Amino acid sequence: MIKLILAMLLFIFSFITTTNADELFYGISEEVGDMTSSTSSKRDEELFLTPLSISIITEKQIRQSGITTIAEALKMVPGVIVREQTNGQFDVHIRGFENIISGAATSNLNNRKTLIMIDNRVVFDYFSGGIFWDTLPITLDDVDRIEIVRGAVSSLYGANAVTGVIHIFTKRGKGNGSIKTSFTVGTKNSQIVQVSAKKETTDVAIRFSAGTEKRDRYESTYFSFLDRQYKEPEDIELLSIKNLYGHSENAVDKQSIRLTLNNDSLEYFNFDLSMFHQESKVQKVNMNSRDIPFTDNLSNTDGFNFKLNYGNFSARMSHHFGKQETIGFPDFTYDTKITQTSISYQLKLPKWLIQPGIDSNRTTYDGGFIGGERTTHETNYMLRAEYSPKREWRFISAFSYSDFNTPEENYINYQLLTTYQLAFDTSLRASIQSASSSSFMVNQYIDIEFTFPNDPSQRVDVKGDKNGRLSRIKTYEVGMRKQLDFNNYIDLEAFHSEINNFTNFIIQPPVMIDGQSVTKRELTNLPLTGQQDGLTLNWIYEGATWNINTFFTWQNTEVFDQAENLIQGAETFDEYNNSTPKYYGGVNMNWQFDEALNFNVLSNYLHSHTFELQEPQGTKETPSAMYTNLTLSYKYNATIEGFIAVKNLSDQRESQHFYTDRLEPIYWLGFNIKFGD
Amino acid sequence: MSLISNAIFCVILVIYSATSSGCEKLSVNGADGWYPYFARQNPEHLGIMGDIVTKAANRASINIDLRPSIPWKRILFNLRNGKLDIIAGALKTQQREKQFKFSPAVHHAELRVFVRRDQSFDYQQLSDLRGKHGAKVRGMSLGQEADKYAFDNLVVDDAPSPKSLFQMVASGRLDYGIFYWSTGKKEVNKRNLSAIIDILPTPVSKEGLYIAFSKNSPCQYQIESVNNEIRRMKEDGSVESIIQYYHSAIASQEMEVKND
Repeated sequence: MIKLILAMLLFIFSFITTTNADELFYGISEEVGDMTSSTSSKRDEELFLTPLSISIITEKQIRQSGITTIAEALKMVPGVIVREQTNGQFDVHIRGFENIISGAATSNLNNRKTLIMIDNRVVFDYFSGGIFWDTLPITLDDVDRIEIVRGAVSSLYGANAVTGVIHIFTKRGKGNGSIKTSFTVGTKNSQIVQVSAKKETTDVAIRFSAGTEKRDRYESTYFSFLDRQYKEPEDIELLSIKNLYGHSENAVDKQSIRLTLNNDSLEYFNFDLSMFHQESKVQKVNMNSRDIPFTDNLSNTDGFNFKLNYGNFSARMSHHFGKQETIGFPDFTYDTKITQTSISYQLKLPKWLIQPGIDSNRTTYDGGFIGGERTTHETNYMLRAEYSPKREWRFISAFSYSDFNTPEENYINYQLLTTYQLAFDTSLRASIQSASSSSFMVNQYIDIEFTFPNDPSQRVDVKGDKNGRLSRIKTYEVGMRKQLDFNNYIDLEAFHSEINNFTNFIIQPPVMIDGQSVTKRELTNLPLTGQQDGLTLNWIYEGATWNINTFFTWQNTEVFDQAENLIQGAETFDEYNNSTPKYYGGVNMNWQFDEALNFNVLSNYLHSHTFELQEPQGTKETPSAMYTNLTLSYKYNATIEGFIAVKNLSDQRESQHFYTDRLEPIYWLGFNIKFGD
Repeated sequence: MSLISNAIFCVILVIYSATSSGCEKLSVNGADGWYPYFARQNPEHLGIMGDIVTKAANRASINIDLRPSIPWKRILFNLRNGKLDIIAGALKTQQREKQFKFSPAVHHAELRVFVRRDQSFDYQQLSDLRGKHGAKVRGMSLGQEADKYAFDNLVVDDAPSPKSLFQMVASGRLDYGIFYWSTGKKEVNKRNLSAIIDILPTPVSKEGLYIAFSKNSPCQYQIESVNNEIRRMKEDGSVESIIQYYHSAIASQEMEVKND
């Protein structure tokens, strides 16, 4: 790590004396310079000076790249790994740390360490932990921008912001009134229709949107864990479920509707209300199916998010409720109710900014797997302070005290940050950050005896622990942003993370009970720790017609005290974590030929990596591969624009996830019609 | 002597014009939304700095080519690379002096304090802003000394745009906003906020305004001619009359707003 930091410092100082930019621009480029982030410091701030490693995807970038899902848009972001499970269904990780616990269940591949937020509302699955992209109640057309923070930010946003935050900001009503409709069709029976209408009056702005999306899978076969090959559904021998129920060629079928009302955010008193509903049926890697990777999942959600600001005082309340169902696994059907509240204040003094706040997250789940209705409650008491001894120098500290009803132990998360503007075109940042996850319903409350329907002689007893430890991360980071000249901008970050306090269901030796072979699995604190060193480089070239955004991450991830197959009493060992790719990155090239014609190339590279799960799932190696999307868009006039795109332009049919669909190219044709201003 | 020198000058001009290609017109651009210093709504009146360039070029018998609106940073980039000949209105910095030629200061931009009329206060010096919550537009400098004082003693936030700045002042979210006097006055009128927002009479600071020329343009002779004319215009009062024209225009616009 020391070598890494020294190399970074050498790199920084090699640039200090070479400058061609203009000092009145503070070293910020046209595109990046216009951007502000509100996620990094919980207030609007120039991207160039943010203390955390952050990237922003704009609506324009999404439109130019022909992207059709929110998760896929994250392919444009440095330090983010995006894997496609099937057509339109994705798995997203910030800086990896996947499959740290080798030999665990399939559900451990879900990202439980990154927080997703929509307009400050946390969207997270607290049942078994993870992100359900299919249940987001917004369409891609609703997205105004996405801010991605790489780092441990629980001190700002509460539990589970362990490797970062993906914060989606949605559009609001604007202008004298407009209606927009977009139709997109693609191969694999893919259809996306989005409609939105908006209007702004003196007192209130209103926006309504609705969308529907259907897609078929890339292939009709499934990978059979038992037979270790892809087979037609009717040929798969099943172990954990009676039949494949609703499994079909359909990958995604979802609808959402959304209404926002707000007044001018610049008013002394301003409010913002959004109401939403979503329904979805998708196939995804969700839980620990022992037959095939996919399960069929139904979901519906209704809710609202209400924010108000009164001067420097802010408050927010949201409530959403709904149902999640995994077809064929009745124990994985549950109702959810989640209520979030927060209040915060900004005290501004010369050289000082002080931001106290309290937020609360009350989650109630009702399902057979957890023995009925269970509620967890998390309250975070937060204090963030900035002090600038000099104009170019800033110290920031953020602390949060997380009080959980379960586990009994409470946690302190923190950030110690500093930024230094070395020259008008160069900013440096350094940080120490700590964050923790929350506990999940299954980990705490599961207490079941599961007899395999197709083999009644086998039984698995699974027992959780309300006081299981919460995994924690500590991240050290240094970074630099520099405008090399009028066209070239770089953002460089070096990081070192240590993660520990893992729990998992340790397998005890089978015993015979009433003629059944019973295997007990109990939630146990593991001695395992993970460590990661890495470097991410982001180079942005902005020309008159060309924009090229190139990003690349190298990271080295190691695991210590790994337990062989999670078997009780097994010896522990240290290993290199092959599940996190050592190299990954991409390039997004955009050519704006004129006001009408635009051409975009988005390529992503993932180095080879291997997932190791428990039996019967086994091991899956994914070879190194480059995936490319090409998009040509044309704006005919102010009313009509369209695009054609080819996605996954790759000649190899390879699963990016754990024996999920082998990807194929998809050809898209889309057009938008907009009336009004 | 004067007759001879003028004759030589004319001969050189004719020879140079015949031999140089692409210098029939000098390309000009400026910062958008910076009325009265630069504006492109009316091709006859390009703002104070735009009109100074136009008139100087006219007096030097040189045509100008007003380039389309592009981001400010790219305007500077083009000037540095010689793809643009003139910027009509820029502040002078040490960094820019290395890269561009500058005319003499032809005008100044004056920063003023904008307040709600019902929350107005006496402003004579920066210390009068202590204990109050203000803002300026992001990236804008108050001037070297004012910037230093503001950092040490004041709370001055960054607003993303002039529109946001004045809306926040009008709504009471800010005790004051600091912005260019004339540009701000126009913005306040445009947004029908003149009944709510007042401009305090004492300036926060004054910054000299210049015409910037490319050092890498192939049309150095024409550029020097325009620069010479600007010097003469400053001496003969032409610059002042252009400035007065815009001050009168602003005053009459204010009258119209009041009459409305």
